[in-house]
Amino acid sequence: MRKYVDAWIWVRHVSLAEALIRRAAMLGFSAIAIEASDKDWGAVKKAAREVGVEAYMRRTISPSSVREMYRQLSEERWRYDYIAVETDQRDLLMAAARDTRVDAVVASLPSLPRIDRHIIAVTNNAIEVSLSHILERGFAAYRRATRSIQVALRKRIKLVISSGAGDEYGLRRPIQLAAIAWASGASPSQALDAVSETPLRLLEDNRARREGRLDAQGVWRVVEE
Amino acid sequence: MCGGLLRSKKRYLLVEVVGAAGDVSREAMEDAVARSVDMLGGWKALAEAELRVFKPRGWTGRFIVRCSLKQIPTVLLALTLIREIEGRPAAALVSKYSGTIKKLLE
Repeated sequence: MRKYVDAWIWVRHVSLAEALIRRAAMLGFSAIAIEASDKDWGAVKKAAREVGVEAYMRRTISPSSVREMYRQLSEERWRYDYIAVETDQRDLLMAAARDTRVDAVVASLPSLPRIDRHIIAVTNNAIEVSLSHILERGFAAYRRATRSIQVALRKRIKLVISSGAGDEYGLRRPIQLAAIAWASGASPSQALDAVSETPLRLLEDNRARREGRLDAQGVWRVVEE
Repeated sequence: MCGGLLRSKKRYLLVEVVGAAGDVSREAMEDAVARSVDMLGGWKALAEAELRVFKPRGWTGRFIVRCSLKQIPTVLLALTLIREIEGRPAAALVSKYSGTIKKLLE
């Protein structure tokens, strides 16, 4: 049975955390990547434990230059389970798409530069489409998201679909998030992978790296009991 | 045989409306779904979707949406993109979908 993951829930204030996490669990997610301030993380983790959801720490960075992105990554990479980059600059997009410390590039912002063959050639990381961008920015974001999904499918780039929800009204069921990819040409199983296996693999591997169970080359440490 | 060819396959979606909209009428829900499908796919998708919304007696905030099998991704996405009903903030959550109402309600 699939384990569904919402790769982006944004807790703006700790008072909203419990309701958001409870609602996400009710909708069928068994793991969520939460973006919250460090001081709120204790309360977020407690709320997730209470409803039986695995909570991962997420950070979305919007650097103004490649140098700043490298600085942020070297400082923050191993403090978080999932790092995504938002940008409207082509050189930054290219650097973020190939840097192994980045997990995903947010590709549903209308201001995102066109993903051309040069960017595709160096892309190692996932492309992430967020429902919140489509809900807030309408057609421009939907057009960008559709094109990004089609590129990901054609070029076999990892695809992640997240809600990006900041309140309860922004959350949807996993099948509804998958419908964004399904309506853009993905098969039902490809669409469901974007809200289950792909983000789950990224989150589990990063957590294992943070805990020292997986090294940088992807070799698992086997411990005899 | 001719009747069999003309009848398109349908899917039924169990939809729950949450939000400040309170108890939503069947007409308001049908209007919201149709607007959203129209926004996404235009008249062609709206015509091909063959939308119908049912609200069984005694149900509050829950609906059955019927659409053609061909347009199910569009209708699912259209339901996902609903942000308000009758001008009040709301979200439509699709619990499941099925080929028959009987299976949907099991």
